[in-house]
Amino acid sequence: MALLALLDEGPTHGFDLKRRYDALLGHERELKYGQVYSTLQRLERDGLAAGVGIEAGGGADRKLYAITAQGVTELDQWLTTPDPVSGRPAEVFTRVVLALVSGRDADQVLEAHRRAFLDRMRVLTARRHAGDVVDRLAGDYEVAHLDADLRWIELASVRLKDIAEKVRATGSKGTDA
Amino acid sequence: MSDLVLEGRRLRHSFGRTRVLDDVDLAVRAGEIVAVMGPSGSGKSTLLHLLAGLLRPDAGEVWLAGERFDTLSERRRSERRLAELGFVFQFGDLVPELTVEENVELPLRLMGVHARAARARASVMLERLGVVEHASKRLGEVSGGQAQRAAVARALVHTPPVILADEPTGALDTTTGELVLEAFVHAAREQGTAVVLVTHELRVASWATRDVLLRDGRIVGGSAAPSSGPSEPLAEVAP
Repeated sequence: MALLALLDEGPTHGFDLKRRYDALLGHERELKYGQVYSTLQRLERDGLAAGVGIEAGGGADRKLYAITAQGVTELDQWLTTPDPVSGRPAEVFTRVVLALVSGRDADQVLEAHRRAFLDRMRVLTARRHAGDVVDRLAGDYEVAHLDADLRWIELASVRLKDIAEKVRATGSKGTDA
Repeated sequence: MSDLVLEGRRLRHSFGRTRVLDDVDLAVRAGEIVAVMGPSGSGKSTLLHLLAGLLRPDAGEVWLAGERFDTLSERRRSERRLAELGFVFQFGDLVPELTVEENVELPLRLMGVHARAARARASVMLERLGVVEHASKRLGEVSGGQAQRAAVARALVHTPPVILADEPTGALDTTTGELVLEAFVHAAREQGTAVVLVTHELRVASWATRDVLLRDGRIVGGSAAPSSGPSEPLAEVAP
């Protein structure tokens, strides 16, 4: 869907789409060319994009694509329809529970993650004047998520002693959980 | 020569029968920003008040610029506080009878700086904190967030070697909070100011060069001693 949104800027070919995607949204996870071309073929098959010619001097990979009217409708709908909100816990949650269940020191697990998350947040804060406005937005997004994880770590640290025994009992052999 | 500007050694303090700080060590070098974190009641603010000489420790020592600070007379501590410390409380603490700019000029005027020079310097700080257009207003005419930024300007205006700040962004939204943190980074970088920042917000702590974590009056995490090498690169100053 992201490629469809970029096609909405005007007709272009796969190579430029990849460059545009990486610059705007890549952030340490760039698109592969294979993904771009297979996505464009799928968009064309579904009637959301259409081939509108070949760029002069180019080969098959210089095929120009444009968004269709159906594609615009689909894009508008996608942008304003949130994904189902999942309560999927982060890896740190899993490790804390497993540390508690196995009778290990969950405080150490929390402190190690707290340190790593805060270090990452510090790197992002130091970089806040680097890059363009989209980089800044991506940095703010990551900082906000790290902040949420760190708040949970703080909360868990305070509550750990109270819950350690209960967690050990939950799901242990001989219970129904 | 050591560049330690502020040091608490084995600080201990109780309120009544409640021990709020227990053998806490904290040493701060010039140009460092140290975040002191911990849950409510962990002793963060008490530590800051001991370092500022606003409270005397039951045991332990406070050293300021290489000299023992906590044993000085009240008068001598006040003099040194005025010249060497900038203090930012959680809720402003400005003089309500004065305008914003008169409040910010106050430390300079008390130190004998000429009125015109004091006003010029206050303007620069108010500009940096984004409240210069409110300079001539009285405290009752500005918002809590604007008053808080004025309080930060007052703490920084005389370029003290040490800033002690207690939840300085607590009353501010993210954007204006960043103006305050940018001002601290600027002071640390450009003037070598040491900043001790009490906060419960990790986002704020991420602006510091290092952090210590207090729980139940003891340091349980982070780093209480400055690193031996050059301090970590500070967050960049706004262009």
